[in-house]
Amino acid sequence: MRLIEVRGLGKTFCLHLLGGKRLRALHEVSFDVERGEFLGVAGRSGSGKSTLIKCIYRTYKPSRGSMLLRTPDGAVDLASLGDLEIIMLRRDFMGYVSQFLRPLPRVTALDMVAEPLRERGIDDYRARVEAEEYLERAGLAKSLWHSYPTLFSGGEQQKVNIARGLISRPRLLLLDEPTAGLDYASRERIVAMLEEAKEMETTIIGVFHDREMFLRLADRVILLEEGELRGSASGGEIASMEGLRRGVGEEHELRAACE
Amino acid sequence: MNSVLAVEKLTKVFGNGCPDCLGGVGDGQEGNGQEGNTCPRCGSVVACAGVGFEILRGEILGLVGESGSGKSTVLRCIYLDLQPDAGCIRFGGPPGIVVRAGEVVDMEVRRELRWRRMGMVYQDPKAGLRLDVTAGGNIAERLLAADFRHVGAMRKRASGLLSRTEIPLNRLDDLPRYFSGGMQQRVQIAKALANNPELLLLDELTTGLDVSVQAQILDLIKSIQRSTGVSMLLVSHDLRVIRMLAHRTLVMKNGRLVEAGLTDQILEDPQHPYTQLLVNCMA
Repeated sequence: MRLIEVRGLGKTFCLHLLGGKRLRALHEVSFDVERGEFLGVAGRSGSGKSTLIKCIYRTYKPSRGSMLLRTPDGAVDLASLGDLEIIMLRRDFMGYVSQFLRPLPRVTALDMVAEPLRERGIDDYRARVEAEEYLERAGLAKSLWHSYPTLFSGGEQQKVNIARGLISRPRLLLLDEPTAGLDYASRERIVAMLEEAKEMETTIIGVFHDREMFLRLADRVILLEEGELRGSASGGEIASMEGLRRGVGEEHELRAACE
Repeated sequence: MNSVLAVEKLTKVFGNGCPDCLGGVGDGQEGNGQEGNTCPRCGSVVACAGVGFEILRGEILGLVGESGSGKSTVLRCIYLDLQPDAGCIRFGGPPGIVVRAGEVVDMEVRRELRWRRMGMVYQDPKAGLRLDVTAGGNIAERLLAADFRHVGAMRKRASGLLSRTEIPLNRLDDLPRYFSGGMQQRVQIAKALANNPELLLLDELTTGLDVSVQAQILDLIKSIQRSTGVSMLLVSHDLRVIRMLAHRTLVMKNGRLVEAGLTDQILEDPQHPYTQLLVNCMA
Protein backbone atom coordinates (compact mmCIF):
# COMPACT_ATOMS: atom_id res chain seq x y z
CA MET A 1 0.00 0.00 0.00
CA ARG A 2 1.48 3.31 -1.06
CA LEU A 3 1.74 6.12 1.44
CA ILE A 4 3.09 8.80 -0.89
CA GLU A 5 3.07 9.27 -4.64
CA VAL A 6 5.32 12.08 -5.85
CA ARG A 7 4.72 13.08 -9.46
CA GLY A 8 6.62 15.60 -11.55
CA LEU A 9 7.84 17.51 -8.53
CA GLY A 10 9.75 20.66 -9.41
CA LYS A 11 11.18 23.49 -7.37
CA THR A 12 12.63 26.67 -8.80
CA PHE A 13 13.70 29.54 -6.59
CA CYS A 14 13.18 33.05 -7.93
CA LEU A 15 15.69 35.44 -6.37
CA HIS A 16 14.12 38.87 -6.65
CA LEU A 17 17.09 40.55 -5.02
CA LEU A 18 19.31 39.31 -7.85
CA GLY A 19 17.12 40.70 -10.58
CA GLY A 20 14.76 37.74 -10.67
CA LYS A 21 17.48 35.13 -11.14
CA ARG A 22 16.02 31.62 -11.25
CA LEU A 23 17.63 28.60 -9.60
CA ARG A 24 16.35 25.18 -10.52
CA ALA A 25 16.68 22.89 -7.50
CA LEU A 26 14.36 20.01 -8.45
CA HIS A 27 13.04 18.97 -11.84
CA GLU A 28 10.40 16.38 -12.74
CA VAL A 29 11.02 14.13 -9.76
CA SER A 30 8.61 11.19 -9.44
CA PHE A 31 8.67 8.26 -7.02
CA ASP A 32 6.48 6.28 -4.63
CA VAL A 33 6.98 5.31 -1.03
CA GLU A 34 5.23 2.28 0.43
CA ARG A 35 3.77 2.33 3.91
CA GLY A 36 6.45 1.26 6.39
CA GLU A 37 9.22 1.62 3.84
CA PHE A 38 12.57 3.29 4.54
CA LEU A 39 13.51 5.26 1.45
CA GLY A 40 17.05 6.60 1.32
CA VAL A 41 17.84 9.71 -0.71
CA ALA A 42 21.41 9.91 -1.97
CA GLY A 43 23.34 12.46 -3.99
CA ARG A 44 26.19 14.94 -3.76
CA SER A 45 25.92 18.23 -1.90
CA GLY A 46 23.70 20.53 -3.93
CA SER A 47 21.91 17.73 -5.78
CA GLY A 48 18.53 18.66 -4.29
CA LYS A 49 18.22 16.15 -1.44
CA SER A 50 17.34 18.65 1.27
CA THR A 51 15.12 20.56 -1.15
CA LEU A 52 13.14 17.37 -1.71
CA ILE A 53 12.70 16.78 2.03
CA LYS A 54 11.74 20.40 2.61
CA CYS A 55 9.20 20.32 -0.23
CA ILE A 56 7.50 17.31 1.35
CA TYR A 57 7.46 18.99 4.78
CA ARG A 58 6.30 22.16 2.98
CA THR A 59 9.02 24.38 4.36
CA TYR A 60 9.49 24.98 0.64
CA LYS A 61 6.60 25.68 -1.67
CA PRO A 62 6.83 23.25 -4.59
CA SER A 63 6.72 25.01 -7.98
CA ARG A 64 5.26 22.09 -9.94
CA GLY A 65 3.90 18.61 -9.54
CA SER A 66 1.96 16.79 -6.86
CA MET A 67 2.66 14.79 -3.70
CA LEU A 68 -0.28 12.58 -2.88
CA LEU A 69 -0.29 11.46 0.75
CA ARG A 70 -2.68 8.83 2.13
CA THR A 71 -3.62 9.78 5.65
CA PRO A 72 -6.16 8.04 7.89
CA ASP A 73 -8.56 10.87 6.98
CA GLY A 74 -8.19 10.37 3.25
CA ALA A 75 -5.75 11.32 0.50
CA VAL A 76 -4.36 14.86 0.27
CA ASP A 77 -1.97 16.59 -2.11
CA LEU A 78 0.84 18.00 0.02
CA ALA A 79 1.83 20.33 -2.81
CA SER A 80 -1.42 22.28 -2.68
CA LEU A 81 -2.71 21.60 0.84
CA GLY A 82 -3.63 24.66 2.92
CA ASP A 83 -1.29 25.96 5.61
CA LEU A 84 -3.64 25.08 8.45
CA GLU A 85 -3.96 21.49 7.26
CA ILE A 86 -0.17 21.27 7.01
CA ILE A 87 0.11 22.43 10.63
CA MET A 88 -2.27 19.65 11.68
CA LEU A 89 -0.37 17.06 9.65
CA ARG A 90 2.90 18.16 11.23
CA ARG A 91 1.40 17.82 14.66
CA ASP A 92 -0.29 14.47 14.15
CA PHE A 93 1.30 12.64 11.26
CA MET A 94 4.54 13.97 9.82
CA GLY A 95 7.85 14.64 11.57
CA TYR A 96 11.08 16.24 10.41
CA VAL A 97 14.56 15.97 11.87
CA SER A 98 17.19 18.17 10.32
CA GLN A 99 20.89 18.43 10.91
CA PHE A 100 20.42 21.36 13.22
CA LEU A 101 18.43 22.06 16.32
CA ARG A 102 16.95 25.51 16.70
CA PRO A 103 17.27 25.94 20.44
CA LEU A 104 15.02 28.46 22.13
CA PRO A 105 16.46 30.68 24.83
CA ARG A 106 15.50 29.61 28.35
CA VAL A 107 13.82 26.38 27.28
CA THR A 108 15.43 23.26 28.79
CA ALA A 109 16.33 20.16 26.80
CA LEU A 110 13.57 18.24 28.54
CA ASP A 111 10.93 20.86 27.68
CA MET A 112 12.06 21.02 24.06
CA VAL A 113 11.61 17.27 23.72
CA ALA A 114 8.29 17.23 25.60
CA GLU A 115 6.80 20.02 23.49
CA PRO A 116 5.52 17.97 20.51
CA LEU A 117 3.54 15.83 22.96
CA ARG A 118 2.13 18.84 24.78
CA GLU A 119 1.04 20.27 21.44
CA ARG A 120 -0.98 17.12 20.95
CA GLY A 121 -2.70 17.82 24.24
CA ILE A 122 -0.87 15.21 26.33
CA ASP A 123 -0.62 16.29 29.94
CA ASP A 124 2.56 17.82 31.26
CA TYR A 125 3.55 14.99 33.55
CA ARG A 126 3.27 12.26 30.94
CA ALA A 127 5.00 14.40 28.33
CA ARG A 128 7.95 14.89 30.69
CA VAL A 129 8.21 11.23 31.58
CA GLU A 130 8.31 10.27 27.92
CA ALA A 131 10.78 13.05 27.17
CA GLU A 132 13.11 11.63 29.81
CA GLU A 133 12.86 8.22 28.20
CA TYR A 134 13.69 9.58 24.74
CA LEU A 135 16.59 11.69 26.00
CA GLU A 136 17.93 8.64 27.78
CA ARG A 137 17.74 6.59 24.62
CA ALA A 138 19.28 9.33 22.50
CA GLY A 139 22.15 9.24 24.99
CA LEU A 140 22.08 12.77 26.34
CA ALA A 141 23.83 12.94 29.72
CA LYS A 142 21.30 13.24 32.54
CA SER A 143 23.09 16.28 33.92
CA LEU A 144 22.06 18.21 30.78
CA TRP A 145 18.36 17.45 30.79
CA HIS A 146 17.48 20.52 32.77
CA SER A 147 19.87 22.94 31.13
CA TYR A 148 19.55 25.00 27.99
CA PRO A 149 20.48 23.51 24.60
CA THR A 150 21.63 26.97 23.47
CA LEU A 151 24.78 26.13 25.46
CA PHE A 152 25.21 22.55 24.16
CA SER A 153 27.78 21.20 21.74
CA GLY A 154 26.65 20.31 18.22
CA GLY A 155 26.45 16.60 19.06
CA GLU A 156 24.44 17.19 22.23
CA GLN A 157 22.03 19.46 20.37
CA GLN A 158 21.61 16.78 17.76
CA LYS A 159 20.57 14.25 20.41
CA VAL A 160 17.90 16.66 21.64
CA ASN A 161 16.82 17.14 18.04
CA ILE A 162 16.42 13.41 17.40
CA ALA A 163 14.55 12.83 20.64
CA ARG A 164 12.22 15.74 19.79
CA GLY A 165 11.65 14.39 16.29
CA LEU A 166 10.85 10.83 17.36
CA ILE A 167 8.91 11.35 20.56
CA SER A 168 5.58 11.96 18.85
CA ARG A 169 6.02 8.76 16.80
CA PRO A 170 5.14 10.33 13.45
CA ARG A 171 3.75 7.97 10.83
CA LEU A 172 5.89 9.70 8.23
CA LEU A 173 9.38 10.68 9.30
CA LEU A 174 11.58 12.96 7.21
CA LEU A 175 15.28 12.90 8.04
CA ASP A 176 17.93 15.29 6.74
CA GLU A 177 21.29 13.89 7.80
CA PRO A 178 20.34 13.32 11.41
CA THR A 179 23.60 11.52 12.18
CA ALA A 180 25.97 14.06 10.66
CA GLY A 181 28.72 15.06 13.05
CA LEU A 182 28.00 12.41 15.67
CA ASP A 183 30.65 10.10 17.09
CA TYR A 184 30.41 6.33 16.58
CA ALA A 185 28.63 5.46 19.84
CA SER A 186 26.09 8.28 19.49
CA ARG A 187 25.41 7.30 15.93
CA GLU A 188 24.73 3.70 16.94
CA ARG A 189 22.12 4.88 19.41
CA ILE A 190 20.38 6.90 16.72
CA VAL A 191 20.47 3.94 14.33
CA ALA A 192 18.86 1.78 17.01
CA MET A 193 16.11 4.38 17.49
CA LEU A 194 15.49 4.55 13.75
CA GLU A 195 15.41 0.76 13.49
CA GLU A 196 12.81 0.67 16.20
CA ALA A 197 10.75 3.34 14.42
CA LYS A 198 10.92 1.15 11.35
CA GLU A 199 9.65 -1.84 13.30
CA MET A 200 6.68 0.26 14.34
CA GLU A 201 5.78 0.64 10.65
CA THR A 202 6.94 4.24 10.44
CA THR A 203 7.46 5.33 6.86
CA ILE A 204 10.82 7.08 6.62
CA ILE A 205 12.42 9.20 3.92
CA GLY A 206 16.01 9.88 4.87
CA VAL A 207 18.91 11.86 3.43
CA PHE A 208 22.36 10.63 4.44
CA HIS A 209 25.87 11.17 3.27
CA ASP A 210 27.13 7.95 4.77
CA ARG A 211 26.85 4.92 2.51
CA GLU A 212 26.80 2.62 5.50
CA MET A 213 23.56 4.18 6.74
CA PHE A 214 21.83 3.32 3.48
CA LEU A 215 23.08 -0.26 3.64
CA ARG A 216 21.92 -0.71 7.21
CA LEU A 217 18.61 1.11 7.15
CA ALA A 218 17.19 1.64 3.68
CA ASP A 219 14.83 -0.71 1.85
CA ARG A 220 15.36 1.33 -1.28
CA VAL A 221 17.58 4.24 -2.31
CA ILE A 222 16.94 6.92 -4.92
CA LEU A 223 19.74 9.01 -6.33
CA LEU A 224 19.50 12.70 -7.19
CA GLU A 225 21.85 14.56 -9.49
CA GLU A 226 21.44 18.23 -10.31
CA GLY A 227 17.87 18.13 -9.09
CA GLU A 228 16.85 15.16 -11.22
CA LEU A 229 16.17 11.56 -10.29
CA ARG A 230 19.01 9.51 -11.76
CA GLY A 231 18.59 6.07 -10.31
CA SER A 232 16.98 3.75 -7.83
CA ALA A 233 18.05 0.52 -6.17
CA SER A 234 16.53 -1.72 -3.57
CA GLY A 235 17.61 -4.51 -1.23
CA GLY A 236 20.84 -6.19 -2.23
CA GLU A 237 21.35 -3.87 -5.23
CA ILE A 238 21.96 -0.90 -2.95
CA ALA A 239 25.49 -2.05 -2.13
CA SER A 240 26.54 -2.00 -5.76
CA MET A 241 24.60 1.14 -6.71
CA GLU A 242 26.98 3.09 -8.90
CA GLY A 243 25.99 6.66 -8.10
CA LEU A 244 25.75 5.92 -4.42
CA ARG A 245 29.50 5.39 -4.31
CA ARG A 246 30.07 8.62 -6.18
CA GLY A 247 27.50 10.51 -4.20
CA VAL A 248 29.05 9.65 -0.90
CA GLY A 249 32.65 9.86 -2.03
CA GLU A 250 33.53 12.56 0.46
CA GLU A 251 32.55 10.33 3.34
CA HIS A 252 34.71 7.48 2.05
CA GLU A 253 37.72 9.69 1.64
CA LEU A 254 37.18 11.08 5.09
CA ARG A 255 37.01 7.67 6.65
CA ALA A 256 40.09 6.52 4.73
CA ALA A 257 41.93 9.56 5.98
CA CYS A 258 40.96 8.78 9.56
CA GLU A 259 42.07 5.19 9.31
CA MET B 1 -12.32 24.73 12.16
CA ASN B 2 -12.48 26.62 15.36
CA SER B 3 -12.04 30.27 14.55
CA VAL B 4 -11.32 32.97 17.14
CA LEU B 5 -11.02 35.91 14.78
CA ALA B 6 -11.73 36.51 11.11
CA VAL B 7 -10.82 39.79 9.42
CA GLU B 8 -12.19 40.60 5.98
CA LYS B 9 -11.14 43.34 3.58
CA LEU B 10 -10.08 45.62 6.39
CA THR B 11 -9.31 49.11 5.12
CA LYS B 12 -8.29 52.24 7.00
CA VAL B 13 -7.33 55.56 5.43
CA PHE B 14 -5.99 58.44 7.49
CA GLY B 15 -6.92 61.79 5.95
CA ASN B 16 -9.85 62.97 3.88
CA GLY B 17 -9.55 60.22 1.34
CA CYS B 18 -10.61 60.33 -2.30
CA PRO B 19 -11.79 57.77 -4.88
CA ASP B 20 -8.21 57.32 -6.10
CA CYS B 21 -6.66 56.46 -2.73
CA LEU B 22 -6.78 52.69 -2.93
CA GLY B 23 -5.83 52.48 -6.59
CA GLY B 24 -2.99 54.94 -6.24
CA VAL B 25 -0.95 53.08 -3.67
CA GLY B 26 0.37 49.54 -3.40
CA ASP B 27 3.35 47.33 -2.97
CA GLY B 28 4.76 48.22 -6.40
CA GLN B 29 5.24 44.58 -7.34
CA GLU B 30 3.48 44.78 -10.67
CA GLY B 31 5.74 47.63 -11.69
CA ASN B 32 2.72 49.88 -12.06
CA GLY B 33 4.32 52.73 -10.17
CA GLN B 34 2.05 52.20 -7.18
CA GLU B 35 4.74 52.67 -4.59
CA GLY B 36 4.22 53.88 -1.06
CA ASN B 37 1.04 54.35 0.90
CA THR B 38 0.36 58.05 0.40
CA CYS B 39 -2.36 58.85 -2.13
CA PRO B 40 -0.79 60.85 -5.00
CA ARG B 41 -3.96 62.89 -5.46
CA CYS B 42 -5.22 63.83 -2.00
CA GLY B 43 -2.25 62.98 0.20
CA SER B 44 -4.18 60.69 2.53
CA VAL B 45 -2.32 57.77 4.04
CA VAL B 46 -3.66 54.31 3.29
CA ALA B 47 -2.69 52.50 6.49
CA CYS B 48 -4.25 49.21 5.49
CA ALA B 49 -6.22 48.08 2.48
CA GLY B 50 -8.15 44.89 1.84
CA VAL B 51 -6.48 42.98 4.66
CA GLY B 52 -8.03 39.58 5.43
CA PHE B 53 -6.99 36.63 7.60
CA GLU B 54 -8.23 34.22 10.23
CA ILE B 55 -6.86 33.03 13.58
CA LEU B 56 -7.74 29.62 14.94
CA ARG B 57 -8.10 28.61 18.56
CA GLY B 58 -4.68 28.01 20.11
CA GLU B 59 -2.84 29.51 17.17
CA ILE B 60 -0.10 32.15 17.25
CA LEU B 61 -0.23 34.23 14.09
CA GLY B 62 2.72 36.50 13.31
CA LEU B 63 2.33 39.82 11.49
CA VAL B 64 5.54 41.35 10.16
CA GLY B 65 6.49 44.34 8.08
CA GLU B 66 8.54 47.52 8.33
CA SER B 67 7.50 50.56 10.35
CA GLY B 68 4.55 52.22 8.67
CA SER B 69 3.39 49.10 6.85
CA GLY B 70 0.08 49.13 8.72
CA LYS B 71 0.65 46.36 11.27
CA SER B 72 -0.38 48.38 14.29
CA THR B 73 -3.37 49.86 12.46
CA VAL B 74 -4.70 46.36 11.86
CA LEU B 75 -4.17 45.54 15.52
CA ARG B 76 -5.86 48.73 16.73
CA CYS B 77 -8.86 48.16 14.46
CA ILE B 78 -9.27 44.68 15.93
CA TYR B 79 -9.07 46.02 19.48
CA LEU B 80 -11.67 48.65 18.49
CA ASP B 81 -9.26 51.49 19.22
CA LEU B 82 -9.76 52.59 15.62
CA GLN B 83 -12.78 52.54 13.33
CA PRO B 84 -12.06 50.90 9.98
CA ASP B 85 -13.32 52.57 6.77
CA ALA B 86 -14.26 49.30 5.13
CA GLY B 87 -14.39 45.61 5.86
CA CYS B 88 -15.52 43.61 8.84
CA ILE B 89 -14.14 41.76 11.84
CA ARG B 90 -15.74 38.63 13.25
CA PHE B 91 -15.01 37.49 16.77
CA GLY B 92 -15.59 33.79 17.43
CA GLY B 93 -18.27 31.84 15.66
CA PRO B 94 -19.56 31.85 13.00
CA PRO B 95 -21.91 33.52 13.59
CA GLY B 96 -19.92 35.08 16.46
CA ILE B 97 -19.90 38.83 17.01
CA VAL B 98 -19.42 40.82 13.81
CA VAL B 99 -18.18 44.40 13.78
CA ARG B 100 -18.65 46.16 10.44
CA ALA B 101 -17.08 49.35 9.20
CA GLY B 102 -19.43 52.29 9.49
CA GLU B 103 -21.64 50.67 12.13
CA VAL B 104 -21.59 51.94 15.68
CA VAL B 105 -20.52 49.26 18.11
CA ASP B 106 -22.95 48.84 20.96
CA MET B 107 -21.37 49.73 24.33
CA GLU B 108 -22.20 46.33 25.79
CA VAL B 109 -20.64 44.53 22.82
CA ARG B 110 -17.61 46.76 22.98
CA ARG B 111 -17.16 45.94 26.63
CA GLU B 112 -17.57 42.23 26.01
CA LEU B 113 -14.94 42.29 23.26
CA ARG B 114 -12.36 44.57 24.84
CA TRP B 115 -12.65 43.44 28.43
CA ARG B 116 -13.47 39.78 28.14
CA ARG B 117 -12.61 38.24 24.81
CA MET B 118 -9.39 40.13 24.10
CA GLY B 119 -6.29 41.25 25.91
CA MET B 120 -3.93 43.83 24.46
CA VAL B 121 -0.26 44.40 25.15
CA TYR B 122 0.90 47.70 23.69
CA GLN B 123 4.42 48.43 22.55
CA ASP B 124 4.44 51.39 24.93
CA PRO B 125 3.59 50.32 28.50
CA LYS B 126 2.15 53.81 29.08
CA ALA B 127 -0.65 52.98 26.66
CA GLY B 128 -1.60 49.77 28.42
CA LEU B 129 -0.97 50.60 32.07
CA ARG B 130 -1.93 53.33 34.48
CA LEU B 131 1.56 54.09 35.71
CA ASP B 132 0.33 55.82 38.85
CA VAL B 133 -1.98 53.03 39.94
CA THR B 134 -0.37 50.06 41.69
CA ALA B 135 0.44 46.92 39.72
CA GLY B 136 -2.30 45.11 41.62
CA GLY B 137 -4.71 47.98 40.96
CA ASN B 138 -4.04 47.80 37.23
CA ILE B 139 -5.03 44.17 37.22
CA ALA B 140 -8.03 44.77 39.49
CA GLU B 141 -9.32 47.29 36.98
CA ARG B 142 -9.78 44.52 34.45
CA LEU B 143 -11.10 42.07 37.02
CA LEU B 144 -13.79 44.57 38.04
CA ALA B 145 -14.85 44.74 34.42
CA ALA B 146 -15.28 40.97 34.53
CA ASP B 147 -17.56 41.30 37.55
CA PHE B 148 -15.08 40.29 40.22
CA ARG B 149 -16.39 42.05 43.32
CA HIS B 150 -14.60 40.48 46.23
CA VAL B 151 -11.41 42.35 47.12
CA GLY B 152 -9.72 39.27 48.58
CA ALA B 153 -10.48 37.23 45.48
CA MET B 154 -9.15 40.00 43.28
CA ARG B 155 -5.92 40.27 45.25
CA LYS B 156 -5.48 36.53 45.05
CA ARG B 157 -6.02 36.50 41.30
CA ALA B 158 -3.68 39.49 40.87
CA SER B 159 -0.89 37.85 42.87
CA GLY B 160 -1.36 34.66 40.87
CA LEU B 161 -0.98 36.57 37.62
CA LEU B 162 2.05 38.50 38.82
CA SER B 163 3.86 35.39 39.98
CA ARG B 164 2.97 33.78 36.66
CA THR B 165 4.66 36.69 34.90
CA GLU B 166 7.59 36.60 37.33
CA ILE B 167 6.94 39.88 39.13
CA PRO B 168 8.01 39.63 42.79
CA LEU B 169 4.86 39.63 44.92
CA ASN B 170 6.18 42.34 47.22
CA ARG B 171 5.82 44.73 44.27
CA LEU B 172 2.04 44.15 44.06
CA ASP B 173 1.36 47.50 45.74
CA ASP B 174 4.10 49.47 43.96
CA LEU B 175 3.55 51.85 41.07
CA PRO B 176 4.55 50.59 37.61
CA ARG B 177 6.07 54.04 36.99
CA TYR B 178 9.05 52.91 39.05
CA PHE B 179 9.37 49.50 37.32
CA SER B 180 11.96 48.68 34.66
CA GLY B 181 10.80 48.42 31.04
CA GLY B 182 10.80 44.63 31.14
CA MET B 183 8.79 44.58 34.36
CA GLN B 184 6.27 47.07 33.00
CA GLN B 185 5.83 44.83 29.99
CA ARG B 186 5.23 41.84 32.24
CA VAL B 187 2.63 43.72 34.28
CA GLN B 188 0.93 44.59 31.00
CA ILE B 189 0.90 40.91 30.07
CA ALA B 190 -0.52 40.00 33.50
CA LYS B 191 -3.21 42.65 33.06
CA ALA B 192 -4.06 41.46 29.56
CA LEU B 193 -4.41 37.91 30.85
CA ALA B 194 -6.55 38.85 33.85
CA ASN B 195 -9.87 37.87 32.32
CA ASN B 196 -8.68 34.71 30.57
CA PRO B 197 -9.14 36.22 27.10
CA GLU B 198 -9.37 33.94 24.09
CA LEU B 199 -7.28 36.29 21.97
CA LEU B 200 -4.16 38.15 23.01
CA LEU B 201 -2.97 41.03 20.82
CA LEU B 202 0.74 41.71 21.17
CA ASP B 203 2.28 44.81 19.60
CA GLU B 204 6.10 44.73 19.36
CA LEU B 205 6.27 43.43 22.88
CA THR B 206 10.04 43.02 23.05
CA THR B 207 11.09 46.15 21.18
CA GLY B 208 13.41 48.30 23.23
CA LEU B 209 14.14 45.63 25.83
CA ASP B 210 17.62 44.21 26.25
CA VAL B 211 18.30 40.77 24.88
CA SER B 212 18.15 38.78 28.12
CA VAL B 213 14.86 40.43 29.08
CA GLN B 214 13.55 39.76 25.56
CA ALA B 215 14.31 36.06 26.03
CA GLN B 216 12.42 36.06 29.34
CA ILE B 217 9.36 37.69 27.79
CA LEU B 218 9.35 35.34 24.80
CA ASP B 219 9.65 32.32 27.06
CA LEU B 220 6.82 33.69 29.18
CA ILE B 221 4.59 34.11 26.14
CA LYS B 222 5.34 30.59 24.99
CA SER B 223 4.59 29.05 28.36
CA ILE B 224 1.35 31.05 28.67
CA GLN B 225 0.28 29.83 25.28
CA ARG B 226 1.12 26.27 26.23
CA SER B 227 -0.77 26.30 29.50
CA THR B 228 -3.81 28.38 28.54
CA GLY B 229 -4.16 27.68 24.80
CA VAL B 230 -4.94 31.37 24.21
CA SER B 231 -4.71 32.49 20.56
CA MET B 232 -2.34 35.33 19.78
CA LEU B 233 -1.80 37.91 17.09
CA LEU B 234 1.84 38.85 17.35
CA VAL B 235 2.93 42.03 15.60
CA SER B 236 6.67 42.43 15.27
CA HIS B 237 9.32 43.64 12.90
CA ASP B 238 11.76 41.20 14.50
CA LEU B 239 11.78 37.96 12.53
CA ARG B 240 13.62 36.12 15.30
CA VAL B 241 10.64 36.68 17.57
CA ILE B 242 8.30 35.47 14.85
CA ARG B 243 10.42 32.38 14.21
CA MET B 244 10.32 31.44 17.86
CA LEU B 245 6.62 31.92 18.43
CA ALA B 246 4.40 32.02 15.37
CA HIS B 247 2.84 29.01 13.62
CA ARG B 248 1.86 31.07 10.57
CA THR B 249 3.00 34.50 9.48
CA LEU B 250 1.56 37.37 7.45
CA VAL B 251 3.77 39.95 5.73
CA MET B 252 2.55 43.52 5.18
CA LYS B 253 3.92 46.28 3.02
CA ASN B 254 2.34 49.66 2.31
CA GLY B 255 -0.88 48.59 3.98
CA ARG B 256 -1.24 45.45 1.86
CA LEU B 257 -0.87 41.83 2.79
CA VAL B 258 1.85 40.69 0.39
CA GLU B 259 2.44 37.16 1.63
CA ALA B 260 1.01 34.63 4.07
CA GLY B 261 2.32 31.19 4.93
CA LEU B 262 3.78 28.76 7.42
CA THR B 263 6.43 30.60 9.42
CA ASP B 264 9.25 28.30 8.33
CA GLN B 265 8.16 28.67 4.71
CA ILE B 266 8.06 32.46 4.96
CA LEU B 267 11.57 32.47 6.42
CA GLU B 268 13.19 29.80 4.25
CA ASP B 269 11.31 30.12 0.98
CA PRO B 270 9.91 33.65 0.83
CA GLN B 271 8.04 34.35 -2.42
CA HIS B 272 7.41 38.09 -2.53
CA PRO B 273 10.35 40.41 -3.30
CA TYR B 274 9.71 42.36 -0.13
CA THR B 275 9.68 39.23 2.05
CA GLN B 276 12.94 38.13 0.43
CA LEU B 277 14.45 41.49 1.30
CA LEU B 278 13.16 41.26 4.87
CA VAL B 279 14.52 37.75 5.39
CA ASN B 280 17.87 38.66 3.86
CA CYS B 281 18.22 41.56 6.24
CA MET B 282 17.81 39.19 9.17
CA ALA B 283 20.84 37.07 8.31
